[in-house]
Amino acid sequence: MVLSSNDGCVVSRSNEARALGIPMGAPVFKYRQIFKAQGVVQFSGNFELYGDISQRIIHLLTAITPRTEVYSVDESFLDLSQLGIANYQVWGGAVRQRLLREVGIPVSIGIASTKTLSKLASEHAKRDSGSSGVLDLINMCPNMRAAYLLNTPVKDIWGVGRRLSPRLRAEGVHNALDLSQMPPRLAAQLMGVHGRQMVAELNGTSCHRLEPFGKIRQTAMHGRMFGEDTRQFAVIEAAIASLTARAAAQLRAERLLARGATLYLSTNRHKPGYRRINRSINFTTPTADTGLLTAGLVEVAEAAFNSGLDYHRANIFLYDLVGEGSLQTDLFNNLDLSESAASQVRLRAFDAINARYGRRTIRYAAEDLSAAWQPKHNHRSPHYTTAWDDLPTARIIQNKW
Amino acid sequence: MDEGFGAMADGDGVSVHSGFPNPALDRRGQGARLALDLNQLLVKHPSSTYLFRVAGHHWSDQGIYDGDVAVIDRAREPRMSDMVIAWRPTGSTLCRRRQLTSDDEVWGVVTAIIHQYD
Repeated sequence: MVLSSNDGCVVSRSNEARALGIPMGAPVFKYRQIFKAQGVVQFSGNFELYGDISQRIIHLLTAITPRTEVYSVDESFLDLSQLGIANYQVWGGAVRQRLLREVGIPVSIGIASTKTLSKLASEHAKRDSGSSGVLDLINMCPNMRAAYLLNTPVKDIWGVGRRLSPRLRAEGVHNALDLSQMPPRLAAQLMGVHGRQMVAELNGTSCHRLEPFGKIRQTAMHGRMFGEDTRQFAVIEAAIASLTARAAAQLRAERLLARGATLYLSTNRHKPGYRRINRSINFTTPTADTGLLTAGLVEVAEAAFNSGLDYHRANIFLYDLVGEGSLQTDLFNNLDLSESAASQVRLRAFDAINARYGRRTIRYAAEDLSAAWQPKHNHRSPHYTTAWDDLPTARIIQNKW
Repeated sequence: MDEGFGAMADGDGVSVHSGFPNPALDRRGQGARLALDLNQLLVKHPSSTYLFRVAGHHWSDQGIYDGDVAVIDRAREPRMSDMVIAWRPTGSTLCRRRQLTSDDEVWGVVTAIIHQYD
Protein backbone atom coordinates (compact mmCIF):
# COMPACT_ATOMS: atom_id res chain seq x y z
CA MET A 1 0.00 0.00 0.00
CA VAL A 2 1.31 3.44 -0.87
CA LEU A 3 0.48 6.58 1.13
CA SER A 4 0.08 10.15 -0.10
CA SER A 5 2.68 12.75 0.72
CA ASN A 6 2.84 13.31 4.46
CA ASP A 7 1.57 9.75 4.94
CA GLY A 8 -2.01 11.07 5.14
CA CYS A 9 -4.11 8.66 3.13
CA VAL A 10 -3.97 5.59 0.95
CA VAL A 11 -3.28 6.38 -2.72
CA SER A 12 -2.49 2.94 -4.08
CA ARG A 13 -3.43 -0.56 -2.97
CA SER A 14 -2.31 -4.02 -3.93
CA ASN A 15 -5.05 -6.56 -4.74
CA GLU A 16 -4.49 -8.02 -1.25
CA ALA A 17 -5.03 -4.66 0.47
CA ARG A 18 -8.11 -4.12 -1.69
CA ALA A 19 -9.49 -7.49 -0.59
CA LEU A 20 -9.25 -6.33 3.04
CA GLY A 21 -11.74 -3.59 2.21
CA ILE A 22 -9.33 -0.68 2.52
CA PRO A 23 -10.85 2.00 0.28
CA MET A 24 -8.89 4.31 -2.02
CA GLY A 25 -8.16 7.58 -0.23
CA ALA A 26 -8.71 6.02 3.22
CA PRO A 27 -7.24 8.24 5.95
CA VAL A 28 -4.42 6.28 7.57
CA PHE A 29 -5.34 7.10 11.16
CA LYS A 30 -8.76 5.45 10.77
CA TYR A 31 -7.35 2.15 9.56
CA ARG A 32 -4.24 1.84 11.72
CA GLN A 33 -5.75 -1.11 13.66
CA ILE A 34 -6.52 -3.11 10.52
CA PHE A 35 -3.05 -2.40 9.09
CA LYS A 36 -1.46 -3.74 12.24
CA ALA A 37 -3.70 -6.76 12.66
CA GLN A 38 -3.41 -7.83 9.02
CA GLY A 39 0.27 -7.06 8.56
CA VAL A 40 -0.35 -4.50 5.81
CA VAL A 41 2.96 -3.07 4.56
CA GLN A 42 2.89 0.72 4.15
CA PHE A 43 5.12 2.82 1.95
CA SER A 44 5.34 6.58 1.71
CA GLY A 45 5.07 7.78 -1.87
CA ASN A 46 8.45 7.50 -3.63
CA PHE A 47 7.71 9.52 -6.74
CA GLU A 48 11.31 9.60 -7.96
CA LEU A 49 11.33 5.81 -8.12
CA TYR A 50 7.90 5.58 -9.79
CA GLY A 51 8.91 8.26 -12.30
CA ASP A 52 12.07 6.39 -13.24
CA ILE A 53 10.26 3.05 -13.68
CA SER A 54 7.57 4.84 -15.69
CA GLN A 55 10.22 6.33 -18.02
CA ARG A 56 11.68 2.86 -18.63
CA ILE A 57 8.29 1.43 -19.58
CA ILE A 58 7.40 4.39 -21.80
CA HIS A 59 10.77 4.00 -23.54
CA LEU A 60 10.01 0.38 -24.39
CA LEU A 61 6.41 1.10 -25.44
CA THR A 62 7.49 3.93 -27.72
CA ALA A 63 9.94 1.54 -29.36
CA ILE A 64 7.00 -0.77 -30.13
CA THR A 65 5.06 2.08 -31.70
CA PRO A 66 5.57 5.84 -31.68
CA ARG A 67 1.79 6.06 -31.64
CA THR A 68 1.86 5.93 -27.85
CA GLU A 69 0.01 8.35 -25.61
CA VAL A 70 1.39 8.62 -22.08
CA TYR A 71 -1.83 9.13 -20.16
CA SER A 72 -0.39 9.19 -16.65
CA VAL A 73 2.60 7.92 -14.69
CA ASP A 74 1.23 4.38 -14.86
CA GLU A 75 -1.04 4.30 -17.92
CA SER A 76 -0.42 4.61 -21.66
CA PHE A 77 -2.57 4.15 -24.75
CA LEU A 78 -1.03 2.49 -27.82
CA ASP A 79 -2.55 2.58 -31.29
CA LEU A 80 -2.18 -0.99 -32.58
CA SER A 81 -4.05 -0.50 -35.85
CA GLN A 82 -0.91 -0.03 -37.97
CA LEU A 83 1.07 -2.89 -36.48
CA GLY A 84 -0.48 -5.80 -38.40
CA ILE A 85 -0.97 -7.92 -35.29
CA ALA A 86 -2.52 -11.33 -36.06
CA ASN A 87 -3.47 -12.28 -32.52
CA TYR A 88 -3.89 -9.51 -29.96
CA GLN A 89 -4.00 -11.86 -26.99
CA VAL A 90 -0.68 -13.45 -27.94
CA TRP A 91 0.87 -10.08 -28.77
CA GLY A 92 -0.27 -8.63 -25.43
CA GLY A 93 1.18 -11.61 -23.60
CA ALA A 94 4.54 -11.12 -25.28
CA VAL A 95 4.63 -7.39 -24.44
CA ARG A 96 3.66 -8.10 -20.85
CA GLN A 97 6.37 -10.77 -20.60
CA ARG A 98 8.98 -8.44 -22.05
CA LEU A 99 8.21 -5.62 -19.59
CA LEU A 100 8.24 -8.09 -16.72
CA ARG A 101 11.62 -9.47 -17.73
CA GLU A 102 13.40 -6.29 -18.78
CA VAL A 103 12.01 -3.68 -16.40
CA GLY A 104 10.85 -6.11 -13.73
CA ILE A 105 7.32 -4.70 -13.48
CA PRO A 106 4.05 -6.62 -14.00
CA VAL A 107 1.55 -4.66 -16.10
CA SER A 108 -1.98 -5.30 -17.25
CA ILE A 109 -3.03 -4.80 -20.85
CA GLY A 110 -6.55 -4.20 -22.17
CA ILE A 111 -7.12 -4.33 -25.92
CA ALA A 112 -10.25 -2.86 -27.48
CA SER A 113 -11.55 -0.59 -30.22
CA THR A 114 -11.92 2.55 -28.05
CA LYS A 115 -10.07 4.16 -25.17
CA THR A 116 -13.01 3.69 -22.80
CA LEU A 117 -13.21 -0.04 -23.56
CA SER A 118 -9.42 -0.43 -23.32
CA LYS A 119 -9.44 1.09 -19.84
CA LEU A 120 -12.28 -1.20 -18.85
CA ALA A 121 -10.46 -4.24 -20.26
CA SER A 122 -7.18 -3.41 -18.52
CA GLU A 123 -9.00 -3.06 -15.18
CA HIS A 124 -10.39 -6.57 -15.62
CA ALA A 125 -7.01 -7.83 -16.76
CA LYS A 126 -5.55 -6.43 -13.54
CA ARG A 127 -8.19 -7.83 -11.18
CA ASP A 128 -9.17 -11.22 -12.63
CA SER A 129 -6.58 -13.70 -11.49
CA GLY A 130 -7.38 -15.99 -14.45
CA SER A 131 -6.83 -13.40 -17.16
CA SER A 132 -2.99 -13.62 -17.27
CA GLY A 133 -2.82 -9.84 -17.25
CA VAL A 134 -4.04 -9.40 -20.83
CA LEU A 135 -7.64 -9.02 -21.97
CA ASP A 136 -8.61 -8.64 -25.63
CA LEU A 137 -12.19 -7.47 -26.13
CA ILE A 138 -11.83 -7.31 -29.92
CA ASN A 139 -11.66 -11.00 -30.76
CA MET A 140 -14.31 -12.03 -28.31
CA CYS A 141 -17.85 -13.26 -28.81
CA PRO A 142 -20.42 -10.52 -28.14
CA ASN A 143 -21.97 -12.42 -25.22
CA MET A 144 -18.70 -12.60 -23.38
CA ARG A 145 -17.93 -8.96 -24.04
CA ALA A 146 -21.37 -8.08 -22.66
CA ALA A 147 -20.55 -10.11 -19.54
CA TYR A 148 -17.44 -7.99 -18.94
CA LEU A 149 -19.50 -4.82 -19.32
CA LEU A 150 -22.10 -6.24 -16.95
CA ASN A 151 -19.39 -6.84 -14.36
CA THR A 152 -18.12 -3.26 -14.49
CA PRO A 153 -19.91 -0.98 -11.98
CA VAL A 154 -20.69 2.49 -13.35
CA LYS A 155 -18.28 4.16 -10.93
CA ASP A 156 -15.39 2.27 -12.58
CA ILE A 157 -16.12 3.50 -16.11
CA TRP A 158 -13.60 5.97 -17.51
CA GLY A 159 -15.23 9.40 -17.40
CA VAL A 160 -17.80 8.59 -14.71
CA GLY A 161 -16.69 10.45 -11.63
CA ARG A 162 -17.95 10.65 -8.10
CA ARG A 163 -20.59 13.15 -9.23
CA LEU A 164 -22.01 11.25 -12.19
CA SER A 165 -22.27 7.78 -10.71
CA PRO A 166 -25.11 8.49 -8.22
CA ARG A 167 -27.02 10.28 -11.00
CA LEU A 168 -26.63 7.28 -13.29
CA ARG A 169 -27.65 4.84 -10.57
CA ALA A 170 -30.76 6.94 -9.99
CA GLU A 171 -31.58 6.35 -13.67
CA GLY A 172 -31.27 2.60 -13.13
CA VAL A 173 -27.83 2.46 -14.77
CA HIS A 174 -25.70 0.24 -12.56
CA ASN A 175 -22.99 -1.10 -14.84
CA ALA A 176 -21.25 -0.51 -18.15
CA LEU A 177 -23.70 -2.74 -20.03
CA ASP A 178 -26.64 -0.62 -18.81
CA LEU A 179 -24.82 2.54 -19.89
CA SER A 180 -23.96 1.10 -23.31
CA GLN A 181 -27.67 0.46 -23.88
CA MET A 182 -28.75 3.97 -22.89
CA PRO A 183 -30.28 5.83 -25.85
CA PRO A 184 -27.74 8.45 -27.03
CA ARG A 185 -30.34 11.21 -26.75
CA LEU A 186 -31.00 10.42 -23.12
CA ALA A 187 -27.24 10.26 -22.43
CA ALA A 188 -26.81 13.68 -24.03
CA GLN A 189 -29.71 15.04 -22.00
CA LEU A 190 -28.27 13.74 -18.74
CA MET A 191 -24.58 14.35 -19.27
CA GLY A 192 -24.13 16.44 -22.40
CA VAL A 193 -21.71 15.62 -25.19
CA HIS A 194 -19.51 13.82 -22.70
CA GLY A 195 -22.29 11.32 -21.93
CA ARG A 196 -23.12 10.65 -25.56
CA GLN A 197 -19.43 10.00 -26.23
CA MET A 198 -19.18 7.56 -23.32
CA VAL A 199 -22.12 5.55 -24.66
CA ALA A 200 -20.64 5.54 -28.18
CA GLU A 201 -17.22 4.48 -26.89
CA LEU A 202 -18.75 1.62 -24.89
CA ASN A 203 -20.36 0.47 -28.15
CA GLY A 204 -17.04 0.47 -29.99
CA THR A 205 -17.24 3.84 -31.76
CA SER A 206 -14.11 5.81 -30.98
CA CYS A 207 -14.65 9.42 -29.88
CA HIS A 208 -11.36 10.09 -28.11
CA ARG A 209 -8.39 10.15 -30.44
CA LEU A 210 -4.92 9.08 -29.45
CA GLU A 211 -2.89 12.12 -28.40
CA PRO A 212 0.76 11.14 -28.86
CA PHE A 213 2.04 14.45 -27.54
CA GLY A 214 -0.32 14.52 -24.60
CA LYS A 215 -2.87 17.19 -23.93
CA ILE A 216 -1.62 20.71 -23.39
CA ARG A 217 -1.72 21.38 -19.69
CA GLN A 218 -4.67 23.53 -18.64
CA THR A 219 -3.87 23.91 -14.95
CA ALA A 220 -1.16 23.24 -12.39
CA MET A 221 -2.16 22.14 -8.91
CA HIS A 222 0.12 21.60 -5.94
CA GLY A 223 -0.93 20.85 -2.39
CA ARG A 224 0.43 19.58 0.87
CA MET A 225 -0.67 18.82 4.36
CA PHE A 226 1.35 20.52 7.08
CA GLY A 227 3.53 18.20 9.17
CA GLU A 228 1.19 19.08 12.01
CA ASP A 229 -1.79 21.45 12.16
CA THR A 230 -0.74 25.05 12.61
CA ARG A 231 -2.03 28.46 13.76
CA GLN A 232 1.15 30.26 12.72
CA PHE A 233 1.00 32.42 9.65
CA ALA A 234 4.75 32.00 9.10
CA VAL A 235 4.27 28.28 8.48
CA ILE A 236 1.45 28.91 6.01
CA GLU A 237 3.55 31.52 4.24
CA ALA A 238 6.44 29.07 3.90
CA ALA A 239 4.08 26.44 2.52
CA ILE A 240 2.66 28.84 -0.05
CA ALA A 241 6.14 29.88 -1.14
CA SER A 242 7.29 26.31 -1.51
CA LEU A 243 4.18 25.10 -3.37
CA THR A 244 4.25 28.13 -5.66
CA ALA A 245 7.93 27.58 -6.42
CA ARG A 246 7.17 24.04 -7.60
CA ALA A 247 4.09 24.95 -9.62
CA ALA A 248 5.82 27.92 -11.26
CA ALA A 249 8.89 25.83 -12.12
CA GLN A 250 6.58 23.26 -13.71
CA LEU A 251 4.95 25.95 -15.85
CA ARG A 252 8.33 27.32 -16.91
CA ALA A 253 9.55 23.85 -17.83
CA GLU A 254 6.56 23.59 -20.16
CA ARG A 255 6.96 27.19 -21.35
CA LEU A 256 3.60 28.27 -19.99
CA LEU A 257 2.37 31.34 -18.13
CA ALA A 258 -0.65 31.69 -15.82
CA ARG A 259 -3.27 34.41 -15.82
CA GLY A 260 -4.84 33.28 -12.56
CA ALA A 261 -3.89 31.69 -9.27
CA THR A 262 -6.03 30.37 -6.44
CA LEU A 263 -5.07 29.55 -2.88
CA TYR A 264 -7.02 27.00 -0.84
CA LEU A 265 -6.51 26.72 2.91
CA SER A 266 -8.35 24.22 5.05
CA THR A 267 -8.55 22.65 8.46
CA ASN A 268 -8.63 18.86 8.88
CA ARG A 269 -11.60 17.42 6.98
CA HIS A 270 -11.87 14.51 9.40
CA LYS A 271 -12.14 16.70 12.49
CA PRO A 272 -15.16 18.73 13.65
CA GLY A 273 -15.51 22.36 12.57
CA TYR A 274 -14.03 21.76 9.12
CA ARG A 275 -13.38 25.06 7.36
CA ARG A 276 -12.08 25.72 3.89
CA ILE A 277 -11.44 29.00 2.13
CA ASN A 278 -10.27 29.94 -1.33
CA ARG A 279 -8.94 33.22 -2.69
CA SER A 280 -8.05 33.99 -6.29
CA ILE A 281 -5.84 36.55 -7.93
CA ASN A 282 -5.59 37.55 -11.58
CA PHE A 283 -2.63 38.87 -13.51
CA THR A 284 -3.03 41.30 -16.39
CA THR A 285 0.34 40.11 -17.66
CA PRO A 286 0.41 36.31 -17.53
CA THR A 287 3.34 35.11 -15.47
CA ALA A 288 5.33 32.13 -14.26
CA ASP A 289 7.45 34.26 -11.96
CA THR A 290 7.75 32.57 -8.56
CA GLY A 291 8.29 35.89 -6.81
CA LEU A 292 5.21 37.59 -8.26
CA LEU A 293 2.95 34.60 -7.73
CA THR A 294 4.13 34.04 -4.17
CA ALA A 295 3.75 37.69 -3.22
CA GLY A 296 0.20 37.76 -4.59
CA LEU A 297 -0.88 34.55 -2.88
CA VAL A 298 0.72 35.42 0.46
CA GLU A 299 -1.09 38.76 0.39
CA VAL A 300 -4.52 37.17 -0.06
CA ALA A 301 -3.65 34.51 2.52
CA GLU A 302 -2.80 37.17 5.07
CA ALA A 303 -6.12 38.92 4.51
CA ALA A 304 -8.04 35.65 4.93
CA PHE A 305 -5.97 34.25 7.81
CA ASN A 306 -7.87 33.46 11.02
CA SER A 307 -5.58 32.88 14.00
CA GLY A 308 -8.26 30.80 15.72
CA LEU A 309 -8.15 27.95 13.21
CA ASP A 310 -5.85 24.94 13.09
CA TYR A 311 -4.76 24.89 9.46
CA HIS A 312 -4.10 21.44 8.06
CA ARG A 313 -3.58 21.82 4.37
CA ALA A 314 -2.68 24.33 1.64
CA ASN A 315 -3.26 23.96 -2.09
CA ILE A 316 -2.33 26.33 -4.84
CA PHE A 317 -3.83 26.19 -8.25
CA LEU A 318 -2.54 28.01 -11.36
CA TYR A 319 -4.94 28.29 -14.26
CA ASP A 320 -5.85 30.13 -17.45
CA LEU A 321 -2.51 29.09 -18.92
CA VAL A 322 -1.02 30.47 -22.12
CA GLY A 323 2.17 29.61 -23.98
CA GLU A 324 5.16 31.90 -23.45
CA GLY A 325 5.18 32.59 -27.17
CA SER A 326 1.64 33.95 -27.29
CA LEU A 327 2.72 36.87 -25.12
CA GLN A 328 5.03 38.34 -27.75
CA THR A 329 2.50 38.17 -30.55
CA ASP A 330 -0.31 39.86 -28.65
CA LEU A 331 0.02 43.22 -30.39
CA PHE A 332 -3.00 44.92 -28.95
CA ASN A 333 -2.03 44.37 -25.37
CA ASN A 334 -0.53 47.07 -23.20
CA LEU A 335 1.64 44.56 -21.46
CA ASP A 336 4.89 45.64 -20.00
CA LEU A 337 6.90 43.21 -22.05
CA SER A 338 10.33 44.49 -21.14
CA GLU A 339 9.77 43.70 -17.49
CA SER A 340 8.30 40.29 -18.17
CA ALA A 341 11.14 39.51 -20.59
CA ALA A 342 13.66 40.42 -17.89
CA SER A 343 11.83 38.19 -15.42
CA GLN A 344 11.92 35.33 -17.92
CA VAL A 345 15.68 35.66 -18.37
CA ARG A 346 16.23 35.74 -14.62
CA LEU A 347 14.04 32.69 -14.03
CA ARG A 348 15.67 30.75 -16.84
CA ALA A 349 19.03 31.21 -15.11
CA PHE A 350 17.39 30.19 -11.83
CA ASP A 351 16.00 26.98 -13.39
CA ALA A 352 19.28 26.19 -15.15
CA ILE A 353 21.19 26.33 -11.86
CA ASN A 354 18.68 24.02 -10.19
CA ALA A 355 18.69 21.64 -13.14
CA ARG A 356 22.45 21.37 -12.94
CA TYR A 357 23.08 21.29 -9.20
CA GLY A 358 19.85 19.72 -7.95
CA ARG A 359 16.35 20.87 -7.14
CA ARG A 360 16.16 23.70 -4.58
CA THR A 361 19.89 24.51 -4.81
CA ILE A 362 18.80 28.11 -5.05
CA ARG A 363 15.35 29.07 -3.84
CA TYR A 364 13.33 31.92 -2.46
CA ALA A 365 14.05 32.73 1.19
CA ALA A 366 10.35 32.44 1.99
CA GLU A 367 10.49 28.70 1.32
CA ASP A 368 11.27 27.92 4.89
CA LEU A 369 12.62 24.48 5.71
CA SER A 370 11.20 24.29 9.21
CA ALA A 371 9.97 20.91 10.41
CA ALA A 372 6.47 22.28 10.87
CA TRP A 373 6.00 22.52 7.15
CA GLN A 374 8.14 19.68 5.84
CA PRO A 375 6.02 16.60 5.20
CA LYS A 376 6.52 13.36 7.03
CA HIS A 377 7.75 10.32 5.13
CA ASN A 378 8.01 7.70 7.82
CA HIS A 379 7.69 4.72 5.51
CA ARG A 380 9.80 5.79 2.58
CA SER A 381 11.31 3.12 0.37
CA PRO A 382 14.85 3.80 -0.91
CA HIS A 383 15.39 5.76 -4.14
CA TYR A 384 16.89 2.61 -5.63
CA THR A 385 17.26 3.92 -9.16
CA THR A 386 17.64 7.67 -8.68
CA ALA A 387 20.10 8.21 -5.79
CA TRP A 388 23.66 6.87 -5.55
CA ASP A 389 23.37 6.44 -1.80
CA ASP A 390 20.24 4.31 -2.17
CA LEU A 391 21.47 1.66 -4.62
CA PRO A 392 20.35 -1.85 -3.66
CA THR A 393 23.12 -4.06 -2.27
CA ALA A 394 24.21 -7.43 -3.59
CA ARG A 395 26.42 -9.60 -1.36
CA ILE A 396 29.24 -11.43 -3.09
CA ILE A 397 28.85 -15.20 -2.83
CA GLN A 398 31.44 -16.89 -0.59
CA ASN A 399 32.58 -19.71 -2.82
CA LYS A 400 34.90 -19.03 -5.72
CA TRP A 401 33.69 -19.38 -9.24
CA MET B 1 16.02 13.78 -42.47
CA ASP B 2 15.03 16.72 -44.63
CA GLU B 3 15.50 19.89 -42.67
CA GLY B 4 15.02 22.35 -45.51
CA PHE B 5 16.56 25.78 -45.58
CA GLY B 6 14.75 27.06 -42.52
CA ALA B 7 16.76 24.93 -40.17
CA MET B 8 20.01 26.43 -41.44
CA ALA B 9 19.15 29.82 -40.08
CA ASP B 10 17.62 29.02 -36.74
CA GLY B 11 20.75 27.81 -34.97
CA ASP B 12 21.02 29.27 -31.48
CA GLY B 13 23.10 32.36 -32.04
CA VAL B 14 25.27 30.66 -34.65
CA SER B 15 25.55 32.47 -37.96
CA VAL B 16 25.73 30.19 -40.97
CA HIS B 17 27.17 32.94 -43.14
CA SER B 18 30.42 33.64 -41.36
CA GLY B 19 33.34 31.32 -41.68
CA PHE B 20 33.93 27.80 -40.46
CA PRO B 21 31.12 26.37 -38.30
CA ASN B 22 31.83 25.43 -34.71
CA PRO B 23 32.34 21.65 -34.80
CA ALA B 24 31.18 21.34 -31.18
CA LEU B 25 27.64 22.16 -32.23
CA ASP B 26 25.57 19.67 -34.17
CA ARG B 27 23.91 20.47 -37.47
CA ARG B 28 21.00 22.25 -35.85
CA GLY B 29 23.41 24.33 -33.81
CA GLN B 30 22.26 22.82 -30.52
CA GLY B 31 24.36 21.42 -27.73
CA ALA B 32 27.76 19.85 -27.67
CA ARG B 33 27.98 16.45 -29.30
CA LEU B 34 31.69 15.81 -28.89
CA ALA B 35 32.07 14.86 -25.22
CA LEU B 36 32.19 11.15 -24.48
CA ASP B 37 29.29 9.86 -22.46
CA LEU B 38 30.03 6.95 -20.13
CA ASN B 39 26.43 5.77 -20.48
CA GLN B 40 27.20 5.04 -24.09
CA LEU B 41 29.97 2.67 -23.04
CA LEU B 42 28.26 1.03 -20.07
CA VAL B 43 24.53 1.03 -20.83
CA LYS B 44 23.29 -0.73 -23.92
CA HIS B 45 19.63 -0.91 -22.90
CA PRO B 46 18.68 2.05 -20.67
CA SER B 47 15.20 0.70 -19.88
CA SER B 48 16.45 -2.60 -18.52
CA THR B 49 19.68 -1.45 -16.86
CA TYR B 50 19.91 -1.21 -13.07
CA LEU B 51 22.81 -0.51 -10.71
CA PHE B 52 23.67 -2.42 -7.52
CA ARG B 53 26.28 -1.73 -4.86
CA VAL B 54 28.51 -4.76 -4.29
CA ALA B 55 29.22 -5.88 -0.71
CA GLY B 56 31.84 -8.38 0.46
CA HIS B 57 35.53 -9.18 0.01
CA HIS B 58 35.43 -12.75 -1.28
CA TRP B 59 36.26 -11.85 -4.86
CA SER B 60 38.95 -9.24 -4.25
CA ASP B 61 41.51 -11.49 -5.88
CA GLN B 62 39.31 -11.45 -9.00
CA GLY B 63 39.30 -7.66 -9.06
CA ILE B 64 35.82 -7.14 -7.58
CA TYR B 65 35.83 -5.14 -4.38
CA ASP B 66 33.47 -4.15 -1.60
CA GLY B 67 31.65 -0.95 -2.61
CA ASP B 68 32.00 -1.42 -6.38
CA VAL B 69 29.00 -0.63 -8.58
CA ALA B 70 27.61 -3.47 -10.69
CA VAL B 71 25.78 -2.66 -13.94
CA ILE B 72 22.95 -5.11 -14.57
CA ASP B 73 21.10 -5.59 -17.84
CA ARG B 74 17.87 -7.53 -17.42
CA ALA B 75 17.40 -7.77 -21.19
CA ARG B 76 20.40 -10.11 -21.46
CA GLU B 77 19.67 -13.84 -21.48
CA PRO B 78 21.92 -15.34 -18.77
CA ARG B 79 24.48 -17.95 -19.87
CA MET B 80 26.05 -20.43 -17.45
CA SER B 81 29.35 -18.54 -17.30
CA ASP B 82 27.75 -15.11 -16.79
CA MET B 83 28.06 -13.15 -13.60
CA VAL B 84 24.55 -12.42 -12.30
CA ILE B 85 22.60 -10.82 -9.49
CA ALA B 86 20.28 -13.46 -8.02
CA TRP B 87 17.52 -13.46 -5.43
CA ARG B 88 18.35 -16.11 -2.89
CA PRO B 89 16.56 -16.81 0.38
CA THR B 90 19.39 -14.89 2.09
CA GLY B 91 18.98 -11.76 -0.06
CA SER B 92 20.37 -10.53 -3.36
CA THR B 93 23.70 -12.07 -4.27
CA LEU B 94 26.43 -11.53 -6.84
CA CYS B 95 27.54 -14.89 -8.24
CA ARG B 96 28.03 -16.96 -11.38
CA ARG B 97 24.93 -18.28 -13.07
CA ARG B 98 26.14 -21.87 -12.68
CA GLN B 99 26.50 -21.46 -8.91
CA LEU B 100 22.73 -21.09 -8.50
CA THR B 101 20.40 -23.72 -7.11
CA SER B 102 16.76 -24.25 -7.97
CA ASP B 103 15.68 -21.97 -5.06
CA ASP B 104 17.48 -19.03 -6.60
CA GLU B 105 16.16 -16.72 -9.25
CA VAL B 106 18.30 -14.72 -11.67
CA TRP B 107 17.48 -11.03 -11.35
CA GLY B 108 19.77 -9.81 -14.11
CA VAL B 109 23.10 -10.27 -15.88
CA VAL B 110 26.08 -8.20 -14.71
CA THR B 111 27.57 -6.44 -17.75
CA ALA B 112 30.16 -4.26 -15.97
CA ILE B 113 31.73 -3.61 -12.58
CA ILE B 114 32.77 -0.04 -11.82
CA HIS B 115 35.60 0.39 -9.34
CA GLN B 116 36.71 3.83 -8.16
CA TYR B 117 40.10 4.51 -6.55
CA ASP B 118 39.47 7.46 -4.29
